[in-house]
Amino acid sequence: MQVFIIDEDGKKYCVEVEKTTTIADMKTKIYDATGMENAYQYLEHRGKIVLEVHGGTTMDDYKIKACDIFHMSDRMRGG
Amino acid sequence: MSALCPVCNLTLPLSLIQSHVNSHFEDDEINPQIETDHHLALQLASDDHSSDDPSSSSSASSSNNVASLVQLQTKSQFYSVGHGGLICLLRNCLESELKLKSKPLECSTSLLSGFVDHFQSSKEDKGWGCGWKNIQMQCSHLLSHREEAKRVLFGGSNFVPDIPSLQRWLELAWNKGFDVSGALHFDNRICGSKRWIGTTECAALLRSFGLKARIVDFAPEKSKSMYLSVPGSAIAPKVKSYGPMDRYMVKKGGSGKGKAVDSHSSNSSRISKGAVLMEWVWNYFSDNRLSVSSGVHITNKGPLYFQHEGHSRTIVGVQRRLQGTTFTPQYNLLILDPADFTRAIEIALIEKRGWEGYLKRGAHTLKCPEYQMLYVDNGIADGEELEKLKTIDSHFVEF
Repeated sequence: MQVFIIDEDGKKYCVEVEKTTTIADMKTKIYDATGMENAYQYLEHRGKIVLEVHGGTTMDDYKIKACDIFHMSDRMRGG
Repeated sequence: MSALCPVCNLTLPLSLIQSHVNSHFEDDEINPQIETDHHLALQLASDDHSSDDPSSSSSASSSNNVASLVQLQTKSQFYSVGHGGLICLLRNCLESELKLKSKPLECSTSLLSGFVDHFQSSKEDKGWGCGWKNIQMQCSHLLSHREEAKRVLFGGSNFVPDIPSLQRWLELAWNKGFDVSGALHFDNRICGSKRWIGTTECAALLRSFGLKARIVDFAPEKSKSMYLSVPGSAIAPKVKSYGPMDRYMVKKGGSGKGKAVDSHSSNSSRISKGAVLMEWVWNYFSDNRLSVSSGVHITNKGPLYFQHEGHSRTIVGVQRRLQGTTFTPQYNLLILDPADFTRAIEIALIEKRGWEGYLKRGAHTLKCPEYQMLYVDNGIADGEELEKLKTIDSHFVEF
């Protein structure tokens, strides 16, 4: 399935993932598409920050579906 | 191990099930109607004061917004610690520790910020409010220690506002042109929202009052190539600094943005990354003085807003132990976490038992790939200096 990444400048990128793809793997795909290193990708999905959990959180764990949009920020935030 | 969600019957790993079930009972946003009503109330309040002249300037409407916000803002409720406050209690504990644990070849020095109130997370802001709580801690110090800050902060109200009021102040800061790119991330709206914030939002808020909030980035050495302003780089601008996270991205023929790099701050091959950050904090509180006598000292420095991905805390001091014959420095950060209960910290400090678990953090705990700090310099900016503060820049320390 395809998901879309929108960066701070409003540029859109398309990334191919599966339900079993981990957040870490997706970040590597985003790096290939955008050049933004994994450590500096802060991804937001439906208003919630997507965090990598040890053991590998997957698309399924975050209920990510085809054509979902991620907002990618290059700023650290927390809650 | 996996478990079944009792609400939607979804099978999830055990580690995720609790937060998943909780998410069924959480609203993503506070009622948007309340938010809209509040904006209308603000509008009406500012209309009352505005002149009949339709050509009145935008700066006039901005000052009307400020005036109405000063009237509408609410004081934050928090547990007030007795015995002179948490910092005073912490000082007592550190002094007692000094007497008890002093070894012949050990020299211990602790440096603390002045008065800071602890603002704990409540049921209402659990899971999203840590940034706001740390802003409140920062402001509690500024209001108690800096006369110039007391005059300008929150319209001179002399109290720390609650989160909804802070959100309105941040929106006002964005409307004034502070951190335009950061504001875009939130579509210029934060009132009533549960979205996470970070150091850049704190900086925008404080800078809008003329306070000189500074951000420091701690990032690994391997990301050196991500920055244009690395010393020795053929294309490095000498003293230019840009947005705190605006990294240079290597692309075909691409140009990027850089930031000021502190080449002297660390030597990663020499000391661990935890020690780099600790040393920076020590230098901040000691004001770069080479020799500080052992003991516990209250400095004139403010606390540090301490951010990593997913959470933020407030550093209120640092402890350094010089150990052995080589006098190797060993550091502990002294940290207030919004996730902890103020009363529990107070009891631990009064009883001088278990307080280390709440407040002390060694270098080994610094496991994140990147950190950010925010501190507030002395003085109030105006004119051209205030205009420059609208662009949030940062200082880069190799980590």
